[in-house]
Amino acid sequence: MTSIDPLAARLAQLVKAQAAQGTPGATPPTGAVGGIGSFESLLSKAIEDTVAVNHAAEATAARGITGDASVREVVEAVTEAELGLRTATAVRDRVIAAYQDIIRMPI
Amino acid sequence: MKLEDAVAIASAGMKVQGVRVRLASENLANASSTAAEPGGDPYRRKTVSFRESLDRARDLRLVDVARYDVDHTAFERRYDPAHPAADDTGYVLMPNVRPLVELMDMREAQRSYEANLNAISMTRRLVRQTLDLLR
Repeated sequence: MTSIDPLAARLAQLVKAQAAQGTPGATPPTGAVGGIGSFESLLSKAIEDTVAVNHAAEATAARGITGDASVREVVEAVTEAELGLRTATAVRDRVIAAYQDIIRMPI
Repeated sequence: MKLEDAVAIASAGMKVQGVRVRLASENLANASSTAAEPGGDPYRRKTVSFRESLDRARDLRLVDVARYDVDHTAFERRYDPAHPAADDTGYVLMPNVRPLVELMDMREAQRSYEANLNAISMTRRLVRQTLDLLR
C-alpha cells in the first residue's frame, strides 16, 4: 500500500526551505495572524492533520480488506482523506505560486 | 460545521438504512421458521426504530438505531397436523412476517440509502468545485 508520508515530508521540507530562503537570517514572524503562529507553522500543522487523516483512512482500508470494517466505513474514511489532501495540495500550490510571484518581483 | 461533515452524516444514514435492509432480509429469510416444539411460538418479526444522535467528538448530529423491537401482531394459524410444530388440534403457528411488507420496507431502505449516497457524492463534488476556484 502506498503511503502519502513521503509526499507530506517533502511538502514540509519544501515549505521550510522556502520560508528559510525568504527570510535569510531573520526569525519567522510569530503571532502575526490572530495568535495562530507563523504561516509556516500553520501550514505544517495543516499538513500534519492531513497526514493523520490519511493514516486513519489507510488503517480503515486495511481493516476493510480483512473484513473488519464495512464498505461504508472505508468509503467515508477515504473520502475524508481525499478531501483533506485536495485542500492541502490546493493551498500548497497557491502558496508556492504566491511565493514565486514575490521572488520574481523586480526590485 | 464544515461542508465535509455532510459526508459523515450521510454515512451514518447509510449505516442505519443498512441495518434496516439486514433486518428485512432476516425477516424474509425466517418467513416460514416455525417453533421447535409442538404448540410453541414461531419466529416473530423484528423491527427497528431510529433516532437523532449527537457525536460529541465531532459536534455532529447523526442518526443511530434507537431500539430493536419485535412485532407483537398475532401469528397466522395454519392447519397442518403432520408438521412437527403442530399443536394437539393440528394447527401450526406461522410467523407474523408478510413478505410484501418486508419487500416494501427493503425498497424504502434502499431509496434512503441511495439518497444518502447522493448526498455524499454531491458533497464531494461541491468541495472539489470550490477548491477548483484556487486553480
